[in-house]
Amino acid sequence: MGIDRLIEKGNKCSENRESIPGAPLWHMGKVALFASEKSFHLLQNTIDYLTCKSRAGKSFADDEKEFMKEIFEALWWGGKYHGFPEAAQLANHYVNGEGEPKKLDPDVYKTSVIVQDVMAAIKNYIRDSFPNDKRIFIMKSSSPSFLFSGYAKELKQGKRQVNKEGYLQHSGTLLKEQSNGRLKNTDHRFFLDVIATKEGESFLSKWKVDSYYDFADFQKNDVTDVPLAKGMVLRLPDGLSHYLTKIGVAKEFKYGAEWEEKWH
Amino acid sequence: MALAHRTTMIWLVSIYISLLSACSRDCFVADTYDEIRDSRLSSKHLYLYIRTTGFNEKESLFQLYSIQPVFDECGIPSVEPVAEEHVDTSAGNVDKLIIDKNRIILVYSKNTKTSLNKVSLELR
Repeated sequence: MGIDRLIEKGNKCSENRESIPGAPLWHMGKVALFASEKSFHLLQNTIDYLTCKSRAGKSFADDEKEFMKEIFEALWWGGKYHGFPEAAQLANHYVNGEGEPKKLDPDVYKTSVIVQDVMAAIKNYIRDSFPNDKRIFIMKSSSPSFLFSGYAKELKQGKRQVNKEGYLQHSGTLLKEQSNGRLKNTDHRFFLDVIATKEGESFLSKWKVDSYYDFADFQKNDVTDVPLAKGMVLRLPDGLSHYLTKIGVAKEFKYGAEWEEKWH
Repeated sequence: MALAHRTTMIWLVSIYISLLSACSRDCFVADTYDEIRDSRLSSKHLYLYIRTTGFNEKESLFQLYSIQPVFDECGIPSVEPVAEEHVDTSAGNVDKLIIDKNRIILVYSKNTKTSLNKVSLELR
């Protein structure tokens, strides 16, 4: 069946398609390199067809599963070479990681403006609140004694520029600054945990972020736009990405990072 | 076989070099925009958008523009918004959006969730 005929079949999924394009990365390259409309429409059409099948709760054939797996692997290529190494690793881990937890380079968190500001506020809080009779202090960014204290006041919504600074949300999650694309595509919001120990006048903090990698189902109607070339943006419904976990193509997983810091 | 392998490698190198420059600005995935149309906004030459951003975790922001923006493939607007407010879903559901000069104020409540593009709008 020719590409035109495949495209024409559009969103219909009442009958199975005879052929699913192999190597989506190849077609993505053709779009990016030659602005190939045929490859673009073939990719989008196949995604639409598989979206239709997943909305109907249908099973995927082996070549359809492979197509979706390779879409996520192609995102790994794009992310890695666009300066989003963590987002690239996570996309690849979703389809190849068997649900195993994934540890990230903590730099992606440590370099964030909101993480640095919340760390500074938590350190002030710990310094002033550390019990004299104990050597260890455990808390989270959501701990009410911190979250509703003066230490966190200036970190809240309305006090900061969302785009450049992010803020500490009502629940105690950190919303990263929107201008930080590297972290935005890795982890948009997260709690920050800390275990602090005191030795004389010095403190040792073990900072930790625990997150969960998943996609919203079709109820939320979220769509991810993947730009390939000028005027050619691939639309990938999050519901389809979520459905991959139901048919054995992908597995949700825990991820995050840990780092230590000595301070006075 | 060796020729096929070499051809594949050349393609892969070409692909990733081209993916490097696929977008005018680097982005992993693009932000998407949904315009909220309202005659009260039009009469004041204001443009209100819901910006959805992120990959596996989506966040929404309301953005107000005084000039109608154009968005590139990465979802970067041609002009800066005059106001921007993030939707903190942990604070409740957005019940009302107030535009007070160049400020966006979101009123949250525990009421049933309303779709963000159907939120009650008040212009002061």
